[in-house]
Amino acid sequence: MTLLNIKNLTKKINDHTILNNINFEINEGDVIAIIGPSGSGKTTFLKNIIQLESSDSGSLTLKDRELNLNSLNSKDKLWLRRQIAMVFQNYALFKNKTALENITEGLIYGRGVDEKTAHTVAIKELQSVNLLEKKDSYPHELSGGQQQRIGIARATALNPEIILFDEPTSALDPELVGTVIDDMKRLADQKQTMVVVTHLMSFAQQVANKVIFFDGGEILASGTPDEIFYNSNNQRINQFLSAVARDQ
Amino acid sequence: MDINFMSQSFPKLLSVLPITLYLSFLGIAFGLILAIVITIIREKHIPFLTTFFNFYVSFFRGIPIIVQIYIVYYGLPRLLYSLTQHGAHAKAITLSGFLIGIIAFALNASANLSEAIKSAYHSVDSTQYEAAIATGLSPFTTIKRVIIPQLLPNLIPNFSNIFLDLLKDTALVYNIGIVEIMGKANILASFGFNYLEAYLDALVIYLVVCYLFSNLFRFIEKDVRKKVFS
Repeated sequence: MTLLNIKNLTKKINDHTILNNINFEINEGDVIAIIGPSGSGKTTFLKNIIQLESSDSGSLTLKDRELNLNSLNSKDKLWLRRQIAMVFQNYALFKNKTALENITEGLIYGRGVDEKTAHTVAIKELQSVNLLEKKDSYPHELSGGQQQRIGIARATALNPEIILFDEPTSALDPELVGTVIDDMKRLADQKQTMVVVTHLMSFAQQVANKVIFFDGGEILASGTPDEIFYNSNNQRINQFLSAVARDQ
Repeated sequence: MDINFMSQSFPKLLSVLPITLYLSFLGIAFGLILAIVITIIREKHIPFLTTFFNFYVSFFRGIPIIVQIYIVYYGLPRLLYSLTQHGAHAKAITLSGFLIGIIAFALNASANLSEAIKSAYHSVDSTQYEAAIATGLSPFTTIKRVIIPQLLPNLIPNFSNIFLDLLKDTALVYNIGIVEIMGKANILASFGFNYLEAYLDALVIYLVVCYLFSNLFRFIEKDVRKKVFS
């Protein structure tokens, strides 16, 4: 069943087209990996979905509610952001809050959950990422991997329809990548709908059920991991994949 | 040097210290309120108002405080008088030197403080704002609960500098008839030409007061930083 449908999304900055007429659909429980070269518009696309950046045109339908992306009011944006959560490349944990408070903040002040319930939810989420003992630690007291897992717990605690991941492992030391990937696999097993911008082709191959290739602000191709990684006739995709394989 | 004169005039100078402190506190308080409004307008890029306040900030940061005091002292009553001529209910005649001093200091402090607030605001990583918004917090709640607590430790040192500058600049309002520390020193010295002695008394008072406030702000900064980040 279609959960989110985006039609003709366009984003420009100073007459320069960043996203060009993007059409995108995601079903409940899908894990979509977005791959492509740096500067191709992948992060901007995620930020347009959750409206951290405004769009110039297009429409978005989520839970049968259609929104015109170039005329969203603040209530529409707030509603949209309360259906979707995001995990950031540089973790972006609130530096003035403990790990526990990072999780309760959105529940209490974003979702209107009472403090006691928010605390219970946060404890459960910290347990699920095996970081309960770090509940009173501030972000600067945690490793990159731990911060990112708290970031994931912060997103899942909100029980969103969709979680957007913006290169969640690219700022991590290689040895810490595995722990974050494990948490994401766990979410995929729980049928959490996810859109993941990633440079990790192994993740896209093993966890995603659909892969989208971005280039020059456009979706150049989309399909199953097999179609994109092994059966693509598109020269640009094959060129990109060979370059990534060489680097990895 | 007349030590006897110095010891006798010291308590007399100290008796007008409250005037210096009132001028400083009220000037910085009104300046801070105005600076917050200016910063919000400039950060939101509101057409016309942003241009106006960009000019306002450059204007007040670009001319000496004594010139600002004179312009407010001579200009504001004239402006109010001119308004009364056009039917406005303004009482130009009741404007005291003290009030004019506060207005001049508040205008000056607002320009400097708005730059300090802007710089402290930009010291907070923009992803902190994005993360809070993405978590479903409204922009107002984000500013209140995430951004302001993080910018405060960076704002306090600049705020301290601006306040101490303002406190020292109150010495200039003697020129518009307010008898504060410097004014009192001039008056006392003029009877027997004991200028050096009177100014040394003033120097000690300014030095001690600034030292105390400087340490107070340092303590507050340390305390706030500790409360915010650990």
